[in-house]
Amino acid sequence: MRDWLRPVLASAALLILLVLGAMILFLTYKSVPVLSREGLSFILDSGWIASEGGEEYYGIAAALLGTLYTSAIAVALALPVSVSLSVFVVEMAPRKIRTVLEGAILMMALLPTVLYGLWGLTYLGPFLLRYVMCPLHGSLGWFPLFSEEPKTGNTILTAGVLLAIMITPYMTAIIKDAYSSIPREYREGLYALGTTRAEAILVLLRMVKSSIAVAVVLGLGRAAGETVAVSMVVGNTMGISISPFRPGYTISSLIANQFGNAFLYRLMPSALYGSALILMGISTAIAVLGLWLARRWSIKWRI
Amino acid sequence: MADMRRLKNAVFLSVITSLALVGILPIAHITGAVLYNGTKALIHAGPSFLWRAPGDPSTGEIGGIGPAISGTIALLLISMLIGFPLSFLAGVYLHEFPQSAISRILMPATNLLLEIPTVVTSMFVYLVLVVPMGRFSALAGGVALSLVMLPYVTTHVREALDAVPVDFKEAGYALGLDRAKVLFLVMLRAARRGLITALLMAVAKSVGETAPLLFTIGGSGEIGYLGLGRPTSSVQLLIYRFAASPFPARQEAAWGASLILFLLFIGVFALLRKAQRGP
Amino acid sequence: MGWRGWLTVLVALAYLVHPYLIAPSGVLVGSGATFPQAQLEAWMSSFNNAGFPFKVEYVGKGSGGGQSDLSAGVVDFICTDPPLSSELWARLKERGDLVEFPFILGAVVVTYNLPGVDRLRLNGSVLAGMYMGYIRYWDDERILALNPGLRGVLPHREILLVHRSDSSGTTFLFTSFLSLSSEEWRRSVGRGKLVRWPVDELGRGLGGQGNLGVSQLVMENQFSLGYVEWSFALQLNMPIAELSGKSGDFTVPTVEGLVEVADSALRILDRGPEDDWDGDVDVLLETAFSSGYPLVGWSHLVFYRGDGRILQWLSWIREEGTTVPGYAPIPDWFWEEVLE
Repeated sequence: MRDWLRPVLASAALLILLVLGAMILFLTYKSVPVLSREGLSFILDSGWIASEGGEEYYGIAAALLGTLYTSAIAVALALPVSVSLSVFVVEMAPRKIRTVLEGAILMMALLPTVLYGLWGLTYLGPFLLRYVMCPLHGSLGWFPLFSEEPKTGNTILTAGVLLAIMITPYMTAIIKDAYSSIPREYREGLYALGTTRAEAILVLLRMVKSSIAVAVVLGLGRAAGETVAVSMVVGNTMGISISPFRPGYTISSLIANQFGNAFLYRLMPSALYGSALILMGISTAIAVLGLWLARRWSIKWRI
Repeated sequence: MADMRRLKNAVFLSVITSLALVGILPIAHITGAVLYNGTKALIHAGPSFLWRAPGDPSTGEIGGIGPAISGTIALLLISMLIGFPLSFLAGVYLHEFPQSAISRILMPATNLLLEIPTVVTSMFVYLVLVVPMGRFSALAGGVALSLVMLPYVTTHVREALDAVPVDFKEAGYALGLDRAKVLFLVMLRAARRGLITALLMAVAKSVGETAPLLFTIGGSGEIGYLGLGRPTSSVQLLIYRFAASPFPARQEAAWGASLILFLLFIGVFALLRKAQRGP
Repeated sequence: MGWRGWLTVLVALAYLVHPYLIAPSGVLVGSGATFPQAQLEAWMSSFNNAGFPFKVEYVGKGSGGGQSDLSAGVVDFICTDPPLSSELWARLKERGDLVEFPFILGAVVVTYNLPGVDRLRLNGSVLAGMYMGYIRYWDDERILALNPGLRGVLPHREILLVHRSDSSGTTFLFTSFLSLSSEEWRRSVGRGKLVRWPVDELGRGLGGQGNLGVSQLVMENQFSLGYVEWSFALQLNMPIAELSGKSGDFTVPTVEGLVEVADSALRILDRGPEDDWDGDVDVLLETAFSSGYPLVGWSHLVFYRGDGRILQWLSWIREEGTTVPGYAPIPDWFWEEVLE
């Protein structure tokens, strides 16, 4: 056998698979106690009752909803921005500015997350409290979403906006790649038909709507898993409400806050591994959906 | 009618432009904030900020982040030494044997790994390394970071090799070289730029992530790198902890630390851009 | 990979190996309560520069976090405000020669962010009402009743209630005090290191990590109120509310008061480092509740005997360590008993 290379390479590949497998197995195994004891109410009920010796009860509904809520806000805000950014970079920006913008987008994608957190805590939270939440509550207080009196900058909304900023480069990368790979002839053909630039862009955007869908799905997955930046601004309290002006929890910030003291309690480690399993389940389901869509529509992109 | 269309066009284009501006504004503000606050903190603390330990916050003394810097360097090195070779080999495997059974599983598995929240990775490493070793450790932190970089590097390595024209490989085989020689003598050279990108991507991930360190390294900023099996501190985690401190000295230290982290990141980022854009 | 690549790898390896060559010493690693954190940090920063062959590192992550680390066996010592529960004590004692004793006194204070109000009086039942959520505004009659002078000064604004998000001894002390003062609190919430805060469900709660996190949230949010260890409020110049115990007199904590309370509590308890300390907080709190400032607390040091470094560090504390403002030293006679 001259080909010694294959076993070496294969063992590296196998090792990665092994780690991934171990991760999934461990999480599942560790979540069994809480899931078998509480069943579905683990995710449908809210409460974080820790007690040494006494009854423990963990329900992560509030955190789960917080994750979904912040991710939804993030995607809703990031979508128009990343579509515009893609169009602007490909279609409108002069060459020089385009290079700068592309650099800035890549930089946003890779910037250490803790810097986002520090910035969110220092600038974004207070800014949103003063210039968004208070005015909205003041003028549209009758509307259920804004009826809560804003009291702090550490809220679901702040986490959502910060996440939107963090996933924008990621979504932009996907949309931009698709948009810029539309053949020239289409564009020229459209102008030849006498369309305005806006009309042409709208038609072209319709051609990449599958990529936009993939971007939404994968952006959602990204937002759901982000931990450090979110736990710095989300407020870290358990409560269910439709008001985005309230402090809340996300699953990842719940883990960041509680894992350090979990092993004091009998059931809490299991509850946190269970939360992690569910978080991973969400991300995975979203990723699988996104990748499946991407494959179906043969969309390619690079981070 | 034509006027209406022109107006719509103008409105639409200005909406696009302003939304694009909104999208890019945060990074400009973040950069500005880090540079401004960070420089202020560095001037206040003096150059010893780079090697001293954090000061006593009640006296208003900033001190420095020396231990955290030494820890971050160690974590970066450990994660690179473990993560890069492993994912490099796996990437090569995916390129060389795309049809094998392992590849068919590994391909989607890397995508899955990419989507695993990094805090979950940290919990996993806590379970399999920290508890059995009886210690938070630099090694555990390095392993957690290398798990995070794995899927990125693997994908980049495979793509870099896939992008090499097939002629190169055929030419190699035609010369009678075996698979290993073709790979090392021909392919890696031809894919050099892509591989450098992969390497830098790994560094960027290692520098950028904080959550993998949450439950693995254990240090609070006082101790630096003292060996693989001992706890250590890191700049990222120090920022996370100090940012939540009410002491002005701690917050200043957090901003100073974020400037250091930012500069490190920008260095890597500049190299990455250069590698991507070519000479 | 050319020679430069290999050189880089070599340098990297050299860096990773260097601590083994130049610093054979180690670190004494502790974690736990943030209650004694300011005191520990002061001790550590002098000790670590005093030329001992090892350094001390402490990560403040809450009493629960410390006990969790001790259970998982990942640290050398921990600090915790409430002692280990009897059950945990018995379980961990099986693994080795475990010792536990209170080593520093402190107090939990209620602090707030109300521009223009530098003196505020509160008691347990009003605090319970605030954290339960039914005392909603700062100008509530029940608050005004304790502060007649503040009528017209206290704003008609909702109170934002800050609490700990981690498993915390400070929370344990605070909720024990609320349980002592309010029957309703005792029944519906109770006490613990981690409790279900009724205000969270009303959207008026905010969780912070550690005493530092709570202090920061109170400082940053107008019209908020929270509880922290005394030293944090002192160091940060935060206002401290006057509290009343059984006597009904409103006071702020004093060093003499703390020592006096601890002294009598220690005599009543009559326990040593080998004993299970479960339940000692009740004795301490009840003593405090009936004598003066009601929210007195202490923090315990817990470790396995056999590591000479801890004793070396403790002797240093005993001889050279100074007490920082916001804490009070454990009575001398008790230290002597412990160290012997």
